Amino acid sequence: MSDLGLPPYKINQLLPSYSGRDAVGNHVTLIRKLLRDRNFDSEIYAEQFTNSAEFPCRSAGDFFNEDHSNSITIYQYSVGSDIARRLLTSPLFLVTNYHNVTPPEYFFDELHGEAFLACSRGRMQATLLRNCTDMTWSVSVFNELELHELGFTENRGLFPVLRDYEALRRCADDEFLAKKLSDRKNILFVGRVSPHKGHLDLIFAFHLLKQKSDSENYRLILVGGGHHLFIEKLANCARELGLTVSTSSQPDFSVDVVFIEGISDAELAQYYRSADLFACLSDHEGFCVPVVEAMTFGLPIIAHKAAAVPDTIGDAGILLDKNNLRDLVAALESVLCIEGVGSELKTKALKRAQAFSWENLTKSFDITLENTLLSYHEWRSGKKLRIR
Amino acid sequence: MQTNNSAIDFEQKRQQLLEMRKRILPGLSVKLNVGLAVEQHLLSTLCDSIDISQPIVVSSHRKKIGWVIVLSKRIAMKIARPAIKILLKRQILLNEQTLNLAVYVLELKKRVHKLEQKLNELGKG
Repeated sequence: MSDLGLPPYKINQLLPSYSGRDAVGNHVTLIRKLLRDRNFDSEIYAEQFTNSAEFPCRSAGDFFNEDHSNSITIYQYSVGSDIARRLLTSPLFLVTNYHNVTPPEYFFDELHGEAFLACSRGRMQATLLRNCTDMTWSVSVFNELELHELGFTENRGLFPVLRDYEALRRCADDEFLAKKLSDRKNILFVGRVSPHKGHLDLIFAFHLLKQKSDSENYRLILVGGGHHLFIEKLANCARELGLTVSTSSQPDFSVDVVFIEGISDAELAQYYRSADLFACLSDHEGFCVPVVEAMTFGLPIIAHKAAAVPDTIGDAGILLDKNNLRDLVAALESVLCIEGVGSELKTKALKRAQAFSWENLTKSFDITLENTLLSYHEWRSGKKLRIR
Repeated sequence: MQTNNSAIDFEQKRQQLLEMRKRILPGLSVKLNVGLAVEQHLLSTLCDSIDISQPIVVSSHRKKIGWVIVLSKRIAMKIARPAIKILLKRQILLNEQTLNLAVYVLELKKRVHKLEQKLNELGKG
């Protein structure tokens, strides 16, 4: 990184909720690590968090009680929060890192009221954030275009969601789990069990695949937590279609559809290793980390052509329009049954995964950081004044 | 991709999937139209002004004693601000609740609009 001749300063991150384990949490943790490696002071502040030795975090309340005049603040924007409102009156150099806000209508039901309000508020706070943002970082081209439509037209940076995919691949084999999964061909999806993630479509496509091939040789594995009543609703739909389901915390792998949550990285790695296909029928993704994880393990991918998913997958998977069941079942069948199709996609996936190698991710991050420091330098010297 | 899909009636299956979606994913049957987008914008403006505790810009139009007026206004505001902030905090909470309710009502309105459209289509049929 070039020496800008600036005094040392802090680069802090603010976000509504920090767990350290989800995609945004991982991203935030790795940004802090990279910043500290580059000799910046860096802290994470959140409204909701569980402070632990592994994922230390401070309260957002503390942030607003401290002086941050000589620092850069990065706001991780994915839902609505009180933080965005408070940022409006804080004299900071603010970078908004946009992860996309899921359209709230997906959550308009009796189970997802909190998510509905958080996303409604998130969408509405775009105009508010526009007035106090000095620079934006996007995690995908899709997000960047959306920011442009929202009026964030200047001073933009782009780098993907940070995740050390190679570290996940280096996790040791779980032989016990591998043995349990080896009796059938496994179709895998990893992601929160949420209305916009397409679990129902995937269960339905799996039912059609089984019906068409008249075989017991397939298993659908759905990794991810969610509202237990929503999971039960999905499980009931699967049962209605004649599929056997396991939603227990001790998964039963003798059934057709297995819901799994709360697993370690080592177990997750084993699910990827034991899978024959990764299917992502999600309607809305700002980036989609699991797709890159699957590509790192060389899994063939079938996905809906929705939101940022095509950008992330590139040419490494089969992209389909929503509601086209005929093509979806044909694609599932060809990858799982026709020799050569799966291996060709595997080669493409491994090649595409290189774009998200740790080396390439840090390179993109450094370029964006350097541009941010230049903007901050201009801001400090008064060349660029924000309208508040 | 050459596979034989003739054994499955995909149109019937598609209808079955749509029915299931309606049942467990009620939110997906709604799309925002242009009129409602305007209301969404109004809500957005409301959201921006929810925080009424933001400092007010103090000014005076008087030329000679303007600075005295501005200074005394600032001092008065600085003294009164802690007490006012406590009161405004409660008002902000109320504003937020009202906004949440407005968002909910807008979503209901979208649904009614959709149902009306369906009824009209049925009437025409």
